[in-house]
Amino acid sequence: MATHREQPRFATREPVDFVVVGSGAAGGVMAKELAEAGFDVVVLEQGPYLRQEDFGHDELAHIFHQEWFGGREGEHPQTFRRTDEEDAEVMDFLPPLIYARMVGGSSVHYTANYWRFHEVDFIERSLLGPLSGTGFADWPITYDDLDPYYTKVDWEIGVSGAPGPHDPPRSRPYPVPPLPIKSSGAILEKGARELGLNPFPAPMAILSQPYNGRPGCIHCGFCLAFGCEVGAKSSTLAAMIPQAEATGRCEIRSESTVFRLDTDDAGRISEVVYWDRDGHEQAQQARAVVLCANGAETARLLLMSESSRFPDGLANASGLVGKYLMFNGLSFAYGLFDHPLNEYKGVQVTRVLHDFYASDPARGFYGGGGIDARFFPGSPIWFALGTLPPDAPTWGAEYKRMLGEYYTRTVAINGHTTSLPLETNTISLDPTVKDKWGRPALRVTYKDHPDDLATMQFLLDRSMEILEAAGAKRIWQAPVTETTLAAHLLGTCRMGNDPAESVVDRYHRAHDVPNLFICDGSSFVTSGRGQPTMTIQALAFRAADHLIEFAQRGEI
Amino acid sequence: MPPKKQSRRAFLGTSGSVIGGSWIALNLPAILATADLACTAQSEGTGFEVLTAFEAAELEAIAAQIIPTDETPGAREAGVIYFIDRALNTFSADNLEPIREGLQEFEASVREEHAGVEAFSALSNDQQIEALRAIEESDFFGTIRTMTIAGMFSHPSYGGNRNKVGWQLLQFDDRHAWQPPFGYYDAQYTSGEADGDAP
Repeated sequence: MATHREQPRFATREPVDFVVVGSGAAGGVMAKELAEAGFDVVVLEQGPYLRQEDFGHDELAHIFHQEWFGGREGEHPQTFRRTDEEDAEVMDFLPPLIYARMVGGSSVHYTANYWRFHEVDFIERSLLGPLSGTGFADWPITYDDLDPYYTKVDWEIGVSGAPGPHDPPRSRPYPVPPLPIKSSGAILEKGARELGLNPFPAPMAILSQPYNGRPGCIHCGFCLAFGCEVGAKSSTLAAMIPQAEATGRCEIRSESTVFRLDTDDAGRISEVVYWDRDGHEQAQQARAVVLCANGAETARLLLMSESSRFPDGLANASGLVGKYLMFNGLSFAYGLFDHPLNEYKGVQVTRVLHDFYASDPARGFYGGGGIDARFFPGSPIWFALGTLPPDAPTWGAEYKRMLGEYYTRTVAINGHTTSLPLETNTISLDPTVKDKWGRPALRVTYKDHPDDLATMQFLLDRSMEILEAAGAKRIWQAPVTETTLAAHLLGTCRMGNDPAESVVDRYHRAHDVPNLFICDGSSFVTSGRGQPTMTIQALAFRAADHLIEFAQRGEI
Repeated sequence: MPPKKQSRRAFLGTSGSVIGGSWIALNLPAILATADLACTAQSEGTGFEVLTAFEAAELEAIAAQIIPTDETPGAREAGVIYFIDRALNTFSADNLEPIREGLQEFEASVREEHAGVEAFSALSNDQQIEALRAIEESDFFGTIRTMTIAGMFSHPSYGGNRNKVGWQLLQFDDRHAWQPPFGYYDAQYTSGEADGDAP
């Protein structure tokens, strides 16, 4: 259907103004902002350039054949261990870190929960004091610094919502109203109100009505793990990349896998080295580089870019590249109801609860979070494989009967929580396992802080109470266990004012490399409460503003 | 004992690989994630691509115990065996030999247990259930269960879920677009003053 815009083709042997590595939540924003400001931009994206007409509802293809990753995960092994005392191993099933390789990145398949951070998220260390054994710290910026950029996300990316009772102040309302409530939302609202809590409409980066030349949601129900076929989901593929291309100054070079950033004698990046789609080595010269490859790949690329001048990896004088990896915890409570909810229709989430957002010292542990209601996993195969209560039969006549009763009548109440920054939780290069290119595999070392597990348990208990108050006929839970699987990849190049304690400064410039900027989940100092994409994009809009200023003043 | 026999035993034995790992990962078995080839459109059941008639009959009998036929269609009516056959010839080809060997061993154990019985499918219903209970923790059974569920609930173009009987069982309707109300509780919902308000 769509005809795709002709892109400029920049020569690799002449420096472009900016190379952006990665086209996801942050990279898509960066590309659009920089190109609109008049700069020449090359975006290097390792995955393919899929379009909305390539997406569908085929669960086997998208989830089980891993099209949501942009291709077979087997070509990109990751290893996992809990502590550096253990040998890291390739996991049996899913890799530990879930992210998409495609233009638009994981914003293509995400659920699109768009919570702003609250004021406390940026200054919690000052408010609560130190937490020994952790890297708990204030951000070098505050909520007020980001509010204008959260607003930009609302209006330029496209967020549906209505203000909630615990929201931080906002300088402008949402551009479009909330999506229509689903039964899961009505149930959360009923149970929470019975308990004196204050649920509110979920802020979602899915359009409730036509906006910015894109259509409103058709409520097909295939958001999580699927690309949106109509472009109502505000992925950067739908909301940013077309605008970047419309400038005529942005080239999206897909299937281009960056594996090294080369520096010159002055310690500045001179070129970005990558394999093209035919596997040939290429090098794109650039005046400045913006690294937006996600909280895992960004750290890995810096570590792989070691040289005699930067023996521990690029931008790593602090030794903190890859450290302080944070995920966000997730808890699951389930309820069965008498009447059909039909949760397979519509967006994933329509009501959320932020009454437990703040950390309360009276609980005896650090942490806070949000609760939402959804149906997860809700696609038919995934549901049938393992969402029934743990004591349910797994085959036979009763199993079949229960599938028929439970599929349309089950709701999940999820808790989304803080993760403390620990120096021992890391992304590093695996010493033995290689990916299909021969690069060292991503090695993940992660063990939840006891307070993180306590916070998950706390929100799980609250979720069970909500289900009971809402009149669930039957309630069950997934017990809290240590996290071994994550989609929120945060903290591995944290921002800060002190070059000894952080990787990038408050403008996302690497402390050690003047023409390198790093902006994605890796910039986070603390984890927030479970929905990081809104903040990743606000950071990207803000960083872009500063980059443009620096470039215009000749300060890069 | 020859090594091959050992691997069969391992396949039919209790699996250790599902212990540990996160709860979500447990629900996404790799068995379906070994994609290689896209599937082609369903051709009506004129024989099988890789399974022998005996293997197909026996695997279908197992699938029919996993999702039985009662007042509504089960795995048999959904054509799950055609999904399995095609999967074992395409994206799940790595599983063909292990399943073949697991089935041989399972059938041998059935014959050993029930003198004069030729095959699992010839057992009475109760005997079949008992025979499967004995192996329900095995990789072999787990693989057949996963493939049965995938064949029951995946898009009919993969050869199973014929006439969408799997989706009908779940009361999942694959219409492409919906309008609210979606279910009973949102239809009853009245207090949403925030919904639909323009900013």
